[in-house]
Amino acid sequence: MTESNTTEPLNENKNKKEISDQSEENKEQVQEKGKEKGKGKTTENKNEKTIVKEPKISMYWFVRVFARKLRNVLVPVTLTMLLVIVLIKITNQNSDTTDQFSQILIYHESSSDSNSKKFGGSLLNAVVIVGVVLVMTVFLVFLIKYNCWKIIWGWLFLSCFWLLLVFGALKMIDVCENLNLAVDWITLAFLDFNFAVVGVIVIFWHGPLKSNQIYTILMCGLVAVYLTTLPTWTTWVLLALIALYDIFVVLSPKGPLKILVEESMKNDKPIPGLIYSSIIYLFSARIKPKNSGSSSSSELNSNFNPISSPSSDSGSGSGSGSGSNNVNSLKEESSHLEKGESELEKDVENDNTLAEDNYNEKSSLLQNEERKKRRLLARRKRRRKKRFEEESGVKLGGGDLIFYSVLIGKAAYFDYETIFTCWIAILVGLAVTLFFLAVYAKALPALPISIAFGMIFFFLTKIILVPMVKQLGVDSVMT
Amino acid sequence: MTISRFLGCLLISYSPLIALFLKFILKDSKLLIISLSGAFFWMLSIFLSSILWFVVSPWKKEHIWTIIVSFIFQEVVRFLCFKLWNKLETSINLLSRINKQKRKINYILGSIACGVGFGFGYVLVMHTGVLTNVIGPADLYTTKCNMSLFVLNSFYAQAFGLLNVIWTSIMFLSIRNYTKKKLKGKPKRKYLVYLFVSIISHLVESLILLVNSCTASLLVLYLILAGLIILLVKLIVDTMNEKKNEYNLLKQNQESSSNEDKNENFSQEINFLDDNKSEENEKNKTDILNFEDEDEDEDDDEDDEIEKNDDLDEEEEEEEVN
Repeated sequence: MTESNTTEPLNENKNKKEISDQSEENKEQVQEKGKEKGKGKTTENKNEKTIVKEPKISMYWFVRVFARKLRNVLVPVTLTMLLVIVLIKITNQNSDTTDQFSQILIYHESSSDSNSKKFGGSLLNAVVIVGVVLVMTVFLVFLIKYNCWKIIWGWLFLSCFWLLLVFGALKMIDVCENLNLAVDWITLAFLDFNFAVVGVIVIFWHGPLKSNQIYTILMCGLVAVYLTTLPTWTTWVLLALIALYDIFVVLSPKGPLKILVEESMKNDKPIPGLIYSSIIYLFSARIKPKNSGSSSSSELNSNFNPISSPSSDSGSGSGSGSGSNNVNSLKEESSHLEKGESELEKDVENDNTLAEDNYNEKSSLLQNEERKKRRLLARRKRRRKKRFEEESGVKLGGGDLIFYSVLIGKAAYFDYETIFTCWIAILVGLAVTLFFLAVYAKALPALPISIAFGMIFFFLTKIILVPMVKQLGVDSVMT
Repeated sequence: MTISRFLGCLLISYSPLIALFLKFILKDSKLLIISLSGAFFWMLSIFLSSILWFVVSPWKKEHIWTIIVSFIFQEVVRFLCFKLWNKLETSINLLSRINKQKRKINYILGSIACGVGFGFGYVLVMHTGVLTNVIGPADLYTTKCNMSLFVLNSFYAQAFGLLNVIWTSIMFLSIRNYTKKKLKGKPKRKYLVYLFVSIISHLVESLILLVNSCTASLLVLYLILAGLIILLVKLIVDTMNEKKNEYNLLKQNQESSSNEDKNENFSQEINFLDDNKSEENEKNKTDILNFEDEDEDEDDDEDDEIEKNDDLDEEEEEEEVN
């Protein structure tokens, strides 16, 4: 690989640069490893069967990157759960749990019904809800397939706005009632309207990344709080069903979400709301690795081993033979991710200086200062890239956030022990899912493992553990 | 008053664990995962014992059997956790040696992290029920004690949280040291003794609370805790010494072995690099040959380092341009 590069005069400088990068930061990385890695990436793009996982590399990948990424995933999940717990603990005191969904549901749960009747009815409810979700997903897939982006954006925009406005208002009223706050209607309306408008602006237009994330978390939290007011049996059946549905939709060969991902990869267009800042909340239940798109895969590759990145790029078609192209892809990405413009400008600046550097370097052969400067610049660029990567890492669908929080919210109606065990169970499930993501390197459903763990832990805690702990606590015995 | 008492109890029971967590674990996401899985494993053990407690009805009144069963489950699960992590860790380290990366997990810190996970699991499950009652309007006293039972329980929770950390790390370190290849025929039996002591102390401390659950047992609890802490410190020092020995042996071996192989390996990487670079590389090589674990924060503080270094770089760059 290196020999072929040295024969091409145009690429020479860049390669050198990258090699110097490597020597700075990944000194120890072996080239053979890099080649293997590059192969793996390219084949992954072509078809998924041939990559059948190289466990060693994946393990290595897991250790180096996923350990760090996991923290970035765990934080929003935990924050959403916290929000839901706080909201439920505040508003739980005097609110009726069942009448909010009475118009939508077919079967209304009443405590006098037999268990089998409850189960049948809640199954019916859950099937209807999941069916609606499925239909909407298919509809969205068609919209994306025929490039109706305006309809999608309008839909997302409106639903997001109404969701923030209505749910925000209801929850605000609830909280005010429960905390005995005296607020007049005008102020409340003003606050709520501003809340919704700012949310829409931040999510769809411009805004600092932090506020974007905060609004995403708020939105998922609001939806989750309202889903917890479903009748108990319906909630549990719905959670189980949605986890199964998630497996089907992501993993089956003609699954809608799979098609969605493939379409977005084909067009090189990220799906707007699906990833993380999601409003298509009910059916975005999945994890999407950032390297599924070709441009971003080059990013990842270059992060791992700079030498292999040009070859894998040309293999996957996006082709970044020179530094400017690479930065272009960077630019695209950042614009997609609605990053601040300042970063972008910095990147462009960086690129310009680099180009100058290239030129200088050709004319004067490897003067010491030049080299040093180049090295510094390259290192900076690399670091920036790396930081960029940190921000755009593993993406968790909004649906995952919502349904995790629904589970936690259901637990929050009971003891704190239940909350903690469910929390740990969900996080461990998420970590296991991420591990599988590292092994299989394709989009995976994030719900099933976590929900299964969470439900098992919930019922075990509620039925068995809490009585035991209470008994032990009364006698002040520690085991 | 109730709020302040609640805060006091909360801090008593959680503060050592939180301190350990903030100091060692939070900045390293690998350790974070380890401690998370530690908490998960502890919960598995308590679920197993609670299922038995639930099924066998006579145990609901006599706690001695509950204690013994849960003791057995906890130790077994801890051992399983060790086994699992050992497997994972060796493969990771093997890989990092293949890649010539020094991104190994620090063993001592890793065992402490797992222990903190166990401790958090313990305190979260066993103590929150008590803590939620503390917010209530009244306090609870018994005839035996002069202390509020809530406060007493918080102290128990603190001790047991810390003890879980210590038990776990003693088990991990001692088994690891015992199963290591023998260096110069050193006696290894003492590690088994350490392990045995820590396991027995677990049983003893659980049973002490049955005998007299009041300040006296609290005193005994803390005495044993102090003893175990000394044991752990000794163990850690031993582990470090062994590492040094290992390192020295390796160094000797490398000096005796031919340098040509090394040079061949280098030549591939250094092809396009200048002299300065290769020197740097060699320095790093020697660093890698260090099997010391002291380089704890190497890459997980990168985020902070990046910012710092960016500023530095910019300054340097300006100077150079001028």
